[in-house]
Amino acid sequence: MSDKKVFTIQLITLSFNWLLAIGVTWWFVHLVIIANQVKDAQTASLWISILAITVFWILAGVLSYVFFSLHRKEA
Amino acid sequence: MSYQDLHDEDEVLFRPIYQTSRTFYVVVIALAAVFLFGLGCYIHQLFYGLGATGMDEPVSWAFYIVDFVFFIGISHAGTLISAILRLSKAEWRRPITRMAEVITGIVLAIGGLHPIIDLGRPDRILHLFERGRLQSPLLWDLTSVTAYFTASTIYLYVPMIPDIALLRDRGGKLHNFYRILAWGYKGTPRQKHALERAINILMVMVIPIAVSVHTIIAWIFGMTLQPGWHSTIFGPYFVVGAIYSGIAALVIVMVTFRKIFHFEDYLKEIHFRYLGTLLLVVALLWTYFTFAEFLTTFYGHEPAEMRVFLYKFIGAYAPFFWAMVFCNFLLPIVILSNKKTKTIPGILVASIGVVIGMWLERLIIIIPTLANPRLPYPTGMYVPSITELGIAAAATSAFVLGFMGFSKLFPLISIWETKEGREHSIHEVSMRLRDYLPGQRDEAGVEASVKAEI
Amino acid sequence: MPKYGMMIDLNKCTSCQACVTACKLENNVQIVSEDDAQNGRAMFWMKMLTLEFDGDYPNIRPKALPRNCMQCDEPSCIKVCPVRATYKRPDGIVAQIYPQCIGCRYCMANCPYTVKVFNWDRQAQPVQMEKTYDPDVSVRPKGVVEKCTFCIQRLQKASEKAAVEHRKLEPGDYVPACVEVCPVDAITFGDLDDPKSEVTKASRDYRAFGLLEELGTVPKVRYLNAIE
Repeated sequence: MSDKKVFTIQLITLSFNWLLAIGVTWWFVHLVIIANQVKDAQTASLWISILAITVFWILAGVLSYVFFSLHRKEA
Repeated sequence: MSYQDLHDEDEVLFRPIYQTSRTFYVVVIALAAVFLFGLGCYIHQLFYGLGATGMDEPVSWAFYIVDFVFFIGISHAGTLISAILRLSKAEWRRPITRMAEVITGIVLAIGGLHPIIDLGRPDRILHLFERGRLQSPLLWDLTSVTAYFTASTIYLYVPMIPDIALLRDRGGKLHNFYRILAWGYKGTPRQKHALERAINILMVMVIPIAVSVHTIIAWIFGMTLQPGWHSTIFGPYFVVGAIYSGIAALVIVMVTFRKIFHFEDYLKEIHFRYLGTLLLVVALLWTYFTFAEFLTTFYGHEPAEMRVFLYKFIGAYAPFFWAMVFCNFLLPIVILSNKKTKTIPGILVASIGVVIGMWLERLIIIIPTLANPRLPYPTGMYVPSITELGIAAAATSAFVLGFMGFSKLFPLISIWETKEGREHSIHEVSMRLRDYLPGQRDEAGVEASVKAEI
Repeated sequence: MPKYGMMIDLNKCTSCQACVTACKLENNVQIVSEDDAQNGRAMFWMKMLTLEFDGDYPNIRPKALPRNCMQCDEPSCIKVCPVRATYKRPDGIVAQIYPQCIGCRYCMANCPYTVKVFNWDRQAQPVQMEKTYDPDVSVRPKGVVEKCTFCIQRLQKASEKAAVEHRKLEPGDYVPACVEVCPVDAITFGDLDDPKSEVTKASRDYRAFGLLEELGTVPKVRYLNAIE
């Protein structure tokens, strides 16, 4: 397998984590909007969303940090 | 010289990946049969509905929820051992962390599915995404289990990268697979530094996530108004119970693989003794929590609470309750506090007792409360159906299967950490110890004494 | 907006269970098989609760209490529902959306009165039942939770009728089936916000109490204590 192909597959696996983070964010934003529409449990929704979204983004960020620092060309 | 036998110093750790015995396949087939039976049970339940279970009117949550809490509890082995031991720089963690993290990953996937198995309408699961209501503890739970699963998978994967790179360098049939997963790791100082930094961030992050997961599972019960559940102690109580069953499960897994794959040289008696001490400490902590919980209930003597209390102590659930006291309190404390019995077989017996006892603990937390509602309803006895038992058996066999599959792809003991321990840590620990003591740090002197000792 | 509530006079109640039967027919509540009933899966929205027995055998007098959904003003079932399948209407009725329920049964676990029932299974109903089906009430599929809704379909009908007749909904236009059928008029139903309604008057009685009121659920179904 060529290096380029390997790199592409690696990038795809990494993007799954971002997909999850973005999916979770999208889901929570959707739930907060619904909570606002029906005027039901707005503050609870908002705070839980902020907490959860942060956690998922940090996790995806850490994984990406590992990925890109491992792939960086040595100076 | 083939890639299978490179005469590495730690060749024993590579061997399970390249050599598979016939017994292994027999066990896989047997477990797969159990798993398929459980799958069949679930398909039956899908068509027949939850009527296929033994649940009834007051006892509307039963086996699945018990298993859910139990499995998620086991998953705490990974965090505790790896993150806390890594954080406290406990050197004896090196051969243990990997297995602990694998337990977390597999068990979380299994445990996380149980609430879905428990749904009356699994076809409507998407309603949670479409119109979920974040005030419900069930959604907190969904979120925290997902976060924990993501975090622990990353936390399993990132410290495994150097080992995958080792496997990649050996070549072989799965060369491309390892090449993809190794992410181009070559062991340059910069890469090592990046990896170390990521592990440090992750281990600090994974502890609060893990604590939150089991706290939130406790809150599913604690947030209700039901006698026996509505208790502020539940969050920490569940976390302690989770760590307790997690260590016990880890000991069982370690003893098993030590025997099968001949890791005797890596998992020495001292590791088990340290884990045994940890188990003893958590056993005492668990006993303290249990005692506090039941004493306050008994002293307060509120009628509704007392019905649940008596149902556990002398009522229909008394056999389970006293079995739990035996398995979780008497057995481990007697075995682990006695130097003569604190051997590997002794610790194994205590751990098996604890795993059974913790399952019983989840059972007697969940069912007696539901069986004794506040208003005077006739209480029925809950008996699980074959469907529920089949799914529980399938879940257990899926856990073992997952572990066996993992052992054929990746080393069960962290190779690079073992090497690192051998090459750097002896020096580093001596230096650290020197820093603890009064007087100046004398690098040359320590170096000389370390060399002399080796 | 009215706030519907109910008062049940235990002095008048004879535990005849007419309300239990009427409720079951009105709301198409499933009749389960004998086996399931033995296993504690019998479904009742209105249920007779035997509290205690007075006197010695054979001259015993059971003290019973008809129990439907308490229609709490602070319902604990709504808080825990993950999909908003159970909700409180502006008129105070706690209703359940059956097509939205995922069957997690959290509301059942959290109801201090244990009023919610689950459709463990859907069974063929006795042939004789065919004539009694209420076309206004949806039949619940298996795997969802259901509960007393104060016969919300009757409110729907009554308000539609009132709208057609260009008048406001008047007291007595809408009563649940259990109230209508009670042979001794033990159950009073009406608007708790209306100071002149019968139910408000009854709720001011010194005998009035609510089940497990100390939990802060604020039940809108309350009782008048039986006093000799």
